[in-house]
Amino acid sequence: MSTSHSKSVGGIRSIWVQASALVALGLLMGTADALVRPIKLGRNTTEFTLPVTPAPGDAAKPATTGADTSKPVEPVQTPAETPKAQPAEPAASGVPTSAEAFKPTPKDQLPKGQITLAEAKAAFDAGETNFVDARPKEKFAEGHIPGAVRLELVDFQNQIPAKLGLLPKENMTIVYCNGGHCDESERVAEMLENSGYARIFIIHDGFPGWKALGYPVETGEDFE
Amino acid sequence: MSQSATPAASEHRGESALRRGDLSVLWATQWTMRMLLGGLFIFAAWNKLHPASSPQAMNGPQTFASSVQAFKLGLPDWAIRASVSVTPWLEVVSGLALILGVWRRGAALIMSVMLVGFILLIASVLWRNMSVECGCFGKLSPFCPKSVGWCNIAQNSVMLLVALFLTLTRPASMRLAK
Repeated sequence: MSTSHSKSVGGIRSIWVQASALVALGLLMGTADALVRPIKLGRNTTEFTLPVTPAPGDAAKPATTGADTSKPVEPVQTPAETPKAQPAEPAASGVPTSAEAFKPTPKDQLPKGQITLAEAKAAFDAGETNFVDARPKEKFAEGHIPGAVRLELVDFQNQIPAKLGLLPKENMTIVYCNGGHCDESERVAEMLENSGYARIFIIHDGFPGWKALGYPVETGEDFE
Repeated sequence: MSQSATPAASEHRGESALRRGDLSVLWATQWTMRMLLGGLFIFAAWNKLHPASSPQAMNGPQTFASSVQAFKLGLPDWAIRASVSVTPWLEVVSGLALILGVWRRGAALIMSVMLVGFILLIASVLWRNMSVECGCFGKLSPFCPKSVGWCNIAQNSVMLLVALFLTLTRPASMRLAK
């Protein structure tokens, strides 16, 4: 009885010894890897400023196209499948009905690097802004900001997404997903920063907020 | 003498054969589970560790770091860096040990502890009603949808059962089984 007990105690001890040795080996290899390939966390954030002051009559200027005032940017090729924008239908009072139930998050409550819906709309109107939709294909098809390019975190893994050719690096880039607990836009923003984009912002309230305020929305499939 | 002992001896032989059969089944079960679980862990690790195809592309650890950050656990940066660096290598070490049959119970114990941690992480994401990509197998999601959900908990629970079985059962010897 005592022999079998001591055997089982010895067995358990040996399992712990084995596990500890393997953990030590894993720690050693992980540390070596971290020294060779340092990991960057988070992204640089700057204050939000509009690319150009929107002039009267410029409101309908399409996003993601146009050139910087100082240096010309190649015109962006819009995909053949890109559907036509559907202008939002405001209510009789001038405020969309869906907006009545929705309260945009105020500026002072936003984390660094995130912008309000009003700021995003101002950038949309000003043009020279890349809009990136970080939501799944199906959500994109149901509705997205006109001219937005869909990019997900996985598109960046071990490759540079071909779609980056549609987003001029000189432009401000605004990323959005579903708002609230959605985190995909933050991850895509990090990837964009690592791909050479400098001024990247995230719409805090995401696409649901954009839509609720009656801002322009277009529908249609993503192109690959 | 031998004839008088025949019934007892044949009974003993029968028991031995039965025991040998049991051991064979146990050995085959353990071997299959070791290969499957060890292979899955190494596959998962490779997807988190692979090098980038070009200087501009993201390597595995950087992408995995983004996935870990997406879980919003409130961990300090050093803890995120440590978990991103060490987790895949722990998967490699324990996966290799399990496949090679070296310190296999220790390796299975590490896997059990890791899988419990993964299940708790996924449960916390579901509890907080977040939409997060798993990152468990890098950009691949061979068994479940990309966004974490109950499927990932089920998948990890099955793997946990296998890891616990391998931790708690003594390794069956092939020589004894034959």
